[in-house]
Amino acid sequence: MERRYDPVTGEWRMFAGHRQDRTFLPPAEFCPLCPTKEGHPPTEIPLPAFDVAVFENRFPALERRPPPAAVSGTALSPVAPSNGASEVIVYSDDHHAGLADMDVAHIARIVEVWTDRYAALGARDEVAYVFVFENRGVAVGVTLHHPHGQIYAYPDVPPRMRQTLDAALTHALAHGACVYCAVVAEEVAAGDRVIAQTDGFAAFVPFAARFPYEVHVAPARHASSLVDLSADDRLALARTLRTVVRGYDNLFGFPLPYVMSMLQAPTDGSGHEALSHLHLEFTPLHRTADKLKYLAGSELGAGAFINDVAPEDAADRLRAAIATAR
Amino acid sequence: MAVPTDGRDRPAPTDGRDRPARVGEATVTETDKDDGRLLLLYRWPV
Repeated sequence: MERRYDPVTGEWRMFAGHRQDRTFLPPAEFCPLCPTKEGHPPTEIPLPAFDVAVFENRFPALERRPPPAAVSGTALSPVAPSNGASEVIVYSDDHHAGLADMDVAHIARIVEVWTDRYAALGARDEVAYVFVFENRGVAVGVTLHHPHGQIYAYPDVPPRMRQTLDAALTHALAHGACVYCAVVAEEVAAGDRVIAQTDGFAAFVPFAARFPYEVHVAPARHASSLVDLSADDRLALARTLRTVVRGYDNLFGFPLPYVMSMLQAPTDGSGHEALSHLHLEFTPLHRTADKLKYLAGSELGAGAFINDVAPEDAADRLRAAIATAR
Repeated sequence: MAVPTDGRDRPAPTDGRDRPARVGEATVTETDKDDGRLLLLYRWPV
């Protein structure tokens, strides 16, 4: 395993061939994320019950003590060891309970764990960005059904985050303010794309959404990372997340596959706090109940997204789904 | 608001970032699994 640099795009990419053999959709009785049952082979968690567990991924793309790069690079195309971390966060010991099913208090605990891992991983000198995310549903590539998220600690700021920081800097130099603060304020004022608001947090379909039912969840006030949230903020975030996921699950009548990504300040010590506004981005792939939004030529080849659903219409449907959700 | 004067000219990373090591009321048990992988178990008061 190693990281390889692409000089054409200026991006580092991770290579991890051992991941081809990772556990793939095991039946529930062989779930590695469930508690260990007496008389059964041990799972990842050697206890009969637990609240929230985090462990280093058995099939990592990045790790604390990576092996030397498996290939040699060149001056043009260097390689580097896969320094960083790949962690799995198991949301609870219940194989079937996702964010839509949990008490708000338990989701707030998950936010606490995210915060703890952001601080601990971010404190490592080799870590420049701590990325909290969740892949949910087979359609987005999930290989384990038990509700869980992941945390990647990258040795450099990933491309999309660099792009958002550059845009934030451009806006800040022109306007002396945080661009995402301005976006949230504009969305809350307009209202037609807002799907939920809870105690200082807003959930909305972005004006220029990439995906048909994309939703962002953000604090209205400027918070650069999880460590800036108070206990009340964590509860409000937890409540908003549950509202969004319950709305998604009611939209088409089945648990909607999604990727949930958390964007926040890098941890490379370079003072991005003023430019970074903590927020979560849900990007489900479905554009109807039985059709997916595929990333095809324009998106994959050119990085230019085409969205078949107007964000205002998506927000209408999500508000209706939330209103009638459990 | 303080704005970096040049987005490309960032200061070098520093040690000892001032961040809390733990959040909330969780008790955290940190161990190494048999294969050396880190395992953290978070538990809250009932």
